Amino acid sequence: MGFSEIIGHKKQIDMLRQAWLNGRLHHAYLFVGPDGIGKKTLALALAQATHCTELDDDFCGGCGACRGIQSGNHADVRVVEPLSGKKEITIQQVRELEKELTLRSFSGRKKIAIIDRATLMNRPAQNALLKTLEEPPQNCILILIATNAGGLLPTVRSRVFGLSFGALPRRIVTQFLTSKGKSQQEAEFLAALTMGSLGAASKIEKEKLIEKRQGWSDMLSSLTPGNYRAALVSAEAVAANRDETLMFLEWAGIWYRDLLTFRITRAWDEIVNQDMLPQIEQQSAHTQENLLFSLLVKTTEASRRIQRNVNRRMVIEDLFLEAVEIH
Amino acid sequence: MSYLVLARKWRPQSFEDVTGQSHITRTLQNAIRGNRIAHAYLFTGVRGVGKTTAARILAKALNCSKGPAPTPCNECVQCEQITQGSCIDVIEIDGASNRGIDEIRQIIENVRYRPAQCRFKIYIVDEVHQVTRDAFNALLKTLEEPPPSVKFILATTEPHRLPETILSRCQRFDFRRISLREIVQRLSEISGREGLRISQGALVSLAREADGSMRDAQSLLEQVLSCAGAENNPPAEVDEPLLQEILGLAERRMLFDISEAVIGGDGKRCLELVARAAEQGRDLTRLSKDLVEHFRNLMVARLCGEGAAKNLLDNEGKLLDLPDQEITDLSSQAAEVSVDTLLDYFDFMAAGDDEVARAANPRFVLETLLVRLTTLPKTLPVGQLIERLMQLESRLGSDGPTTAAGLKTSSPRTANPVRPVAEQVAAFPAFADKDQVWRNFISFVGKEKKLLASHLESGSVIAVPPETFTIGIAERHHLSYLLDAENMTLLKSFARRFFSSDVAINLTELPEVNVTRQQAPRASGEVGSEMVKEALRIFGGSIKGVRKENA
Repeated sequence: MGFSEIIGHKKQIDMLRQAWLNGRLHHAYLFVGPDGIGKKTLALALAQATHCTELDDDFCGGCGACRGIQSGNHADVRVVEPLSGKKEITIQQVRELEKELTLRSFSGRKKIAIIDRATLMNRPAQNALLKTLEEPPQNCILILIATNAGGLLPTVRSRVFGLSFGALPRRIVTQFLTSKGKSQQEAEFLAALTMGSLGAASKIEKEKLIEKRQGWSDMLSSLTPGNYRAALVSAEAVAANRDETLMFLEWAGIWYRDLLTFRITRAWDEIVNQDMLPQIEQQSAHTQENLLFSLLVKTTEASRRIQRNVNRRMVIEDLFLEAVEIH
Repeated sequence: MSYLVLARKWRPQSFEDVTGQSHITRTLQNAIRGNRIAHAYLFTGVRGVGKTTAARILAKALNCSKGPAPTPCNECVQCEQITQGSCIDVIEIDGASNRGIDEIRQIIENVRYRPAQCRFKIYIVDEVHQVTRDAFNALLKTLEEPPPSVKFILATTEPHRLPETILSRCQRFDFRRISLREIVQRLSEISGREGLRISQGALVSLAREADGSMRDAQSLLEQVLSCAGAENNPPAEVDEPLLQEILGLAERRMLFDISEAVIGGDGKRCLELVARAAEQGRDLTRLSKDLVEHFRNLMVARLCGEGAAKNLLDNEGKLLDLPDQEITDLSSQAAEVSVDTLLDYFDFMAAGDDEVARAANPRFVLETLLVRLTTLPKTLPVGQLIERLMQLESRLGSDGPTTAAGLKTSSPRTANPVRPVAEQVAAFPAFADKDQVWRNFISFVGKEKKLLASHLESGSVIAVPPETFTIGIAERHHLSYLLDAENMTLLKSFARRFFSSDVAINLTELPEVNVTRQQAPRASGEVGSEMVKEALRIFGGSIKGVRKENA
């Protein structure tokens, strides 16, 4: 293992590594970027590099410390995530973390706290972290990981060293997937579908997104103007399961975006659903821009509402009725 | 000692070093000189403007062994301990982590004991807005009349979340946002001491990013230091392009390209530009923020004009804080569209920016937002619209009173009332296709007197003013209804209003029944044709025959 094996993000990695080698690491970092592109991997890599007993300027991934960190069993590296069954990181967890950070490091090296999905910290939790973020106890590094900085308090953002990560280029994801035994064609398709997220590309098959997509797109296509019946029936089907509903909404946003992009550019290369070109071509011809705009807004709104536990079926019906409205 | 980040390393240690808050530091120093020290202070202001710093300096100034001095010596044991945060009589509490009533009770409990070594026992409660309601209430009595040796300093970014009862017990100081110039000055001082060569222009754009917060500015400078230091040979001076590269800012050029595409309504180009920015690894949420500012700048340039914007820059340095070349570019681009359109762009962009910042995939949201901007209709100023309407109206006047009448009803809010229909008829008598006039007359009557109009519908016109208004009625009962004295007066008054002159009306009986029968449904059929089609569509029927109501 080593820094060189982390995929993509050359610039950010170089910068962190240099800072680490020169002993100029900031005490609080914020890694921002889409899901599944290697933010946590990099945070863990930095932790391993700090604690690796074999190498001085990199990490081996094989020594006791490295393996301990990988499996979450290292005394000086702590990963904070929502407790199982919870959707938020609570003030209680932050307090525990702060208490732990005041203790001396076990190995004599830096203590590292990684807060994964930092935006899931609720307001009290974020506020509670402020003082620690500004002036943590000696020899501590905090790494916050988030998909968007917007969900963090401005007071939090001002205390951290922000590093933003872009989606990985398709080429790199394709390469990685082919090296894992996928055929070139399949790899290219997956890379486009996951928009440069390796994490998503690796887990996509488990979620059966690919199979579902066909049904979903047929369903969205059936929502022709005035077809209220289809809207209500489809809404019932989609709203059956929370996770699936959220997955659907995420995909629907991308679908509408594809339609819009194709309508405007008439070009294929930026389309995400690469295998559904005929359908996209046909649908985009029938759907006005204005309807697409309002659908896109509604889709985001719907996912936000469902995350706030609004009745799923009602939210989806609202979305679909918008789609069948005559404009 | 481990590496300290800039914001901590360069934390001011005396009131003189605090940037941009002289209104506060002077007041505090004078208070110490005059021995008028309040027992509770509240420091408020946005992030990174010096609240905690000022609180610590105040603590030092009060407890300095050579004091209470307006300028702490920073040498005595007390000063040093406070700087290191190890003084036992200066208790800095994280209000957000210790927010419950139990923690506050502990404070109240300890307040009673005299300070161990220092003159005063000072409680600094940072992030105090997170303290719970009950805890605040428990603190009230102590905050109002603490023992003489106890001072409280509360600090928060959100004073509106404190109860009134707390606010009224504290001396409140509002910290300002720090001005661009002051941030630049401080940054150049720091970068000089850190051995970083950075151009003035780069410092200015760095300071602009910080948006009035010194800590944000220093964090950004820290990033520049990390990156510039990462290269092996000591790098050349950090200039603007390099800064943009390091911070992932979009080039200024790209902002202009995007706004040009938006103004030109070119959605495709917008998508291409966003794709390019993403490929270059630019931070898209920041790009979106920059665009909001850019559209604001365009609006300012459009409103003030090029010269004015430059002059304002000279006098105040606030309205458009940009190089001359950019202001020229802005003005020329803004000249292509109206202020209202620019306002629309700004509104949409500002509203959408929020979404971009919150989205899991900012790229798509930004794309959609920009495409949406390109499809916005270009709005015209209301004044210009009215003018156009008037022109249109005077031109349409020559085609017939229908449209003029339509305009009259559809634009009731225009300041200048549209000239009466009648005037137009009088002004353009030559147009008169008499059937047209007749139909208009009927609908004019129909608006107020449906029944009268329905009787008129069965008739046909024979002559219109300026000749005698002659109406032929085929069916006897219609004729007798119209000939009724009351109805005749009514009809005359309608005619007078419609033609805006006294009109003699002549009702004659037509002999050929068939002609009128034919005409009547045709006329009403024409009027209702849209409605009929819609009805057919909704009910899915077909026309079996046409029958007239009351006939």
